[in-house]
Amino acid sequence: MARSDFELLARELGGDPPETFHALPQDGLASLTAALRAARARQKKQLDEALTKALEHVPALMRLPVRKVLGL
Amino acid sequence: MSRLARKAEILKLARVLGVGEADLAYLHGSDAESIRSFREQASARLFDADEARLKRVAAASKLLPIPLIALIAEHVFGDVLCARVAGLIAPDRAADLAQRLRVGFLADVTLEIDPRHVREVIKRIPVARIVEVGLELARRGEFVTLARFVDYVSSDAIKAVMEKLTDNAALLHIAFFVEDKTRLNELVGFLPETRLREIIFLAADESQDLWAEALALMNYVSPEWRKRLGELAATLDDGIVSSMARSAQAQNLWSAVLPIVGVMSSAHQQRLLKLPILGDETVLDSIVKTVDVDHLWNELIPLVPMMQPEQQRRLANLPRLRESRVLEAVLKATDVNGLWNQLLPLVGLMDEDAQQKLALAAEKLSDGAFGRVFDAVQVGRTWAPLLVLLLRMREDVRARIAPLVQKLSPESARFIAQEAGRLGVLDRLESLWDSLARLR
Repeated sequence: MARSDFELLARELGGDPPETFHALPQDGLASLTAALRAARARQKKQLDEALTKALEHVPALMRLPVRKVLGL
Repeated sequence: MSRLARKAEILKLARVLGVGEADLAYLHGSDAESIRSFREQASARLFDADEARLKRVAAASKLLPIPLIALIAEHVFGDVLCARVAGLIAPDRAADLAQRLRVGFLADVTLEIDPRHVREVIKRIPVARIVEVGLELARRGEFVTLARFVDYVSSDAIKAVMEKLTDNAALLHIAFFVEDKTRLNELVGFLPETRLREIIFLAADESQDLWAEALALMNYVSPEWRKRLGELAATLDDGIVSSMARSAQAQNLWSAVLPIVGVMSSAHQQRLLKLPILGDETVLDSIVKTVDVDHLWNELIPLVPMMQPEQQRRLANLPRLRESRVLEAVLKATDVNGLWNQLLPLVGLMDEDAQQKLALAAEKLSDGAFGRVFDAVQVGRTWAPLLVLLLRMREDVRARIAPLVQKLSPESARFIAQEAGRLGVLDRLESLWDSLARLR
């Protein structure tokens, strides 16, 4: 069971966590995974909001092409 | 020390993940290096996301003049987007931009930035601007962020910030979180002695609760600086060092205190060891517990001869020092570090049960280790306690030692006989070794 929690954390992290993290309690690994997932989501949201807000200052006709350029 | 390093790493990781320190309580059993490694992975994961999209933003910014970008950055993009794009635009341009942003906004951006990505930009920012941002971050209590930048900012800039940052508590907090600890030697060197004294006085103000940070700093610096800072503390009045001892006891910081005491001059060590708090059995037991867990016997045993007799007696008879595993660790460290003459005198202060337990543990010493015991004892003339131990060992172990006895000089043999006479065990000596009797 603990192994699968370790793997979930590795997936969220995009690589294997330190070997010693195998010794962490199961709920600790799950909690770290959730915290990292939340931090990533929060950051993506902040970035999206910043870019969207930036677009509001672009003339309406230009917004679509700029949106495409910025990959929004 | 490992406990303090772990605490610093947990706080830094909490910052990266946007959670509270208490949320990461399950990491208190992990080592600092693993937590640090995980934090770097997590930071990279967060910071490297969306790079393609951000590169397009950076590319678009090339089309605009710097004053206009500064305006857009602050009023439209905001701190998060600026922090992510900063490392993707040309360093000269980014540094120029940093000059035009408000200090408060630049501090906001600094909180969100990964300094590894803006190393070249930082190099180009004038010292005066770095001081402004540094002071603003210190005012906000953003010590983790300030510490992260210490690795990337020039010595001139750090010196300038430290001169302007008069809050000594802030300096201690920043030092606690600095990543590259070797840099701390340079930083401490920027401080005049009067300020170093002020910092120690501040740590001793128990309402501030800063001994953990001060002790961590003293441990992270080089042995030369550790000696200097430790002795500076030791030369202050007893109230200062007693406060350090109380904090060490209350917060389990003995592993940070012992290496500092270890590099002090013997005069300073003796003065410290005379503090009444260090004669308390509960305190001595805490010290021994920490020494056992953190393998610091090489720091504690050299201090034993400088302790007060009653302090030595209490130490020698601690229940913890009757456990075979602990005693074997003590004997191993004593042997490896050549400390037999410092340890053996404690035997004479032990009650019979403690002596017997030590003798049992000593029976497991190798022939080579017994050879080193005899060599040391011949020099230090600590035959009496060794005799007490040997008399408590089983016959087969004593037989194992017989060849070492045969090699003793007649002078040593006479001295052993005198000691045996003094201990009232002369009649048992000949039953110990025929060869010793012959030598005599």
